[in-house]
Amino acid sequence: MSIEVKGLNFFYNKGQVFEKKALDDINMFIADGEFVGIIGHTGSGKSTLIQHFNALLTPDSGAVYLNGNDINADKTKHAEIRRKIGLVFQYPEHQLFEISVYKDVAFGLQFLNLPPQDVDRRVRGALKVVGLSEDYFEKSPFELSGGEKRRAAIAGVLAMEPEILILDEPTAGLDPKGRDEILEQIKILGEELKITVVLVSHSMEDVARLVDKVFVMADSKIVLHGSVGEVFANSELLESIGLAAPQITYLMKELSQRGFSAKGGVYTVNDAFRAIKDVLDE
Amino acid sequence: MEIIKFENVSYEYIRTDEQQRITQRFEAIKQLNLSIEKGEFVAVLGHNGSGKSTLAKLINALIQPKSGTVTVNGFDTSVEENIYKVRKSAGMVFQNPDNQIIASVVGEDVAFGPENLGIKSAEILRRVREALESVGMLKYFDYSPHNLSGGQKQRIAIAGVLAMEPDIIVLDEPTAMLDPLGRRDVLKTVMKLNAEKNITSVLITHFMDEAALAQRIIVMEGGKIAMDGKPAEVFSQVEKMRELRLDVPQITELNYMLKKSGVNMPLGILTVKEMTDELCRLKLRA
Ligand SMILES: Nc1ncnc2c1ncn2[C@@H]1O[C@H](COP(=O)(O)OP(=O)(O)O)[C@@H](O)[C@H]1O
Ligand SMILES: Nc1ncnc2c1ncn2[C@@H]1O[C@H](COP(=O)(O)OP(=O)(O)O)[C@@H](O)[C@H]1O
Ligand SMILES: [Mg+2]
Ligand SMILES: [Mg+2]
Repeated sequence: MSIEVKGLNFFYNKGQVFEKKALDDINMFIADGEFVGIIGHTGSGKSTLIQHFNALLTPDSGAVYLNGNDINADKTKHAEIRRKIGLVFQYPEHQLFEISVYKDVAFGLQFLNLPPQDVDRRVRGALKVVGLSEDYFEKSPFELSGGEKRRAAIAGVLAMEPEILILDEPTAGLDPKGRDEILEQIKILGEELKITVVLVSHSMEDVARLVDKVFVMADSKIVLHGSVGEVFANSELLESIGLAAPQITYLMKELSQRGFSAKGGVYTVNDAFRAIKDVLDE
Repeated sequence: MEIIKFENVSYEYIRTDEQQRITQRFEAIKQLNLSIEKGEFVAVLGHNGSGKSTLAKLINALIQPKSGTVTVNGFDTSVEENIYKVRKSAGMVFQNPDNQIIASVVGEDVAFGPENLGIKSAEILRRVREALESVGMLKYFDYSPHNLSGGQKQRIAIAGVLAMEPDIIVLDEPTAMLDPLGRRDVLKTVMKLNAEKNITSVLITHFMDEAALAQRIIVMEGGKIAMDGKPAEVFSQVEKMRELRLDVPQITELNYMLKKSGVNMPLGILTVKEMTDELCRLKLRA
């Protein structure tokens, strides 16, 4: 499913003293099956933007199109849209409430009128993707660690088999292995099921490694977008808006200044390894 | 002088049912020994559930050991009369910037701790100003904290701790929820306080690049200390770190990959500068 945003403006508390323009003339296109990253300083509007993708928020002007259809043209379709667009909120663990992990993951499925064996297959499948083994099925969500709760919450969204998966800073507070496992699984899932994935992240390293395309937000606007290379080549601009380029970029820059001329356009450790080896093996 | 000392410390979480019967016990800290010198900047790493927050709470006397002794600034934290003194010497900063700010004006929020100590108002004002100055937030004295960014809120939380004039500051994943600039500002602040005021700093983090800035890294695993050493020593053990569900900074990872592929270079490279020097040296030789 593709997502297109045209001339979107959005205000919190419109017309009141505390009016805040949270989205300012947003235009973007995400193709079907793409894996995109959204980066931006705290308060730049990332969470506000993605909540427009599944009609939790409605634009004050402009429009959001899914596969070319304006999602706000017919509000009676919102429930259906929300089933197709899986949104993992920032701190989704706050939304766990069932008596067991299994039940929590199955919660959204009860509204789909699926045969029980399908519910079971989906719940098990989703828990497998996030790495929660059968030992966890009957545990209360409240007994889980922060990282485990996060996994359970993501599984709840995956079980709905969404056509677009949106994740709002899904790895904040997770240990490095947990972070990598979840992101790798999401990447594989996106590729296997050919679904569109939108990842909001503060980790420039993760974004550089995983996504096809990056949107950069600052002060309610999209200030830059393009491929990983096109975006992270602008390290000064990124720094001026409170972001950074991936750590490895600074090494490549320093090397080129010191006359160690490795190939350009390197933003990940793997690419840096190959580029440096090429020079050393010459 | 050692300012924090753990001697054979164990701690157990106990869950009870409605009738106060014990249903579950979990030993989160096991026979742990640790000493931290005054003025040290120590990073604590470890996967989720390894016991880092429990360790922090033991330092701050929020909990007391089941067995063994925790001594902070010379005070045994298990002795009731000492708890107040321990909390005064060891301040804590937590992960969520929004849960730590109480007052509706920044200055009042920072004054909250010293007010509870019964300090005179002129002295409180001096402390609050000095604390806000140290974290680079003095100009926000009259602001509402709610409009600040996450990184700014965390620096206000640090100022709140500083106003108590502590000897130790324990930060439990203070940057987990921040954007890159927020993280940078909080780290700079911690390093400055450590360098200029000699405040012993214990930083719990999942960011390897932050830990690389500390003088010493402790890695927790299953309620015990699995590794303890200088960043270069700890991070040069890439495979061991991965087994412990951790990682190493990107530069160190590259260092490891190059070395493994036969490039003749030492392990334990942490900074862009060291790596550049090393690579330029190799290229000259070639
Ligand atoms: N429910 C709300 N009411 C009023 N203002 C809000 C609300 N949610 C967010 N904002 C404001 O809108 C702006 C964008 O917020 P958000 O989309 O959460 O940013 P991000 O996800 O990039 O951190 C911020 O200035 C924030 O304070
Ligand atoms: N209040 C609690 N009750 C029961 N078990 C707990 C409690 N707090 C933590 N634990 C358990 O103790 C272990 C260590 O927890 P913690 O110190 O919070 O780890 P970390 O901070 O390294 O993630 C974990 O297995 C966790 O599930
Ligand atoms: Mg957000
Ligand atoms: Mg913790």
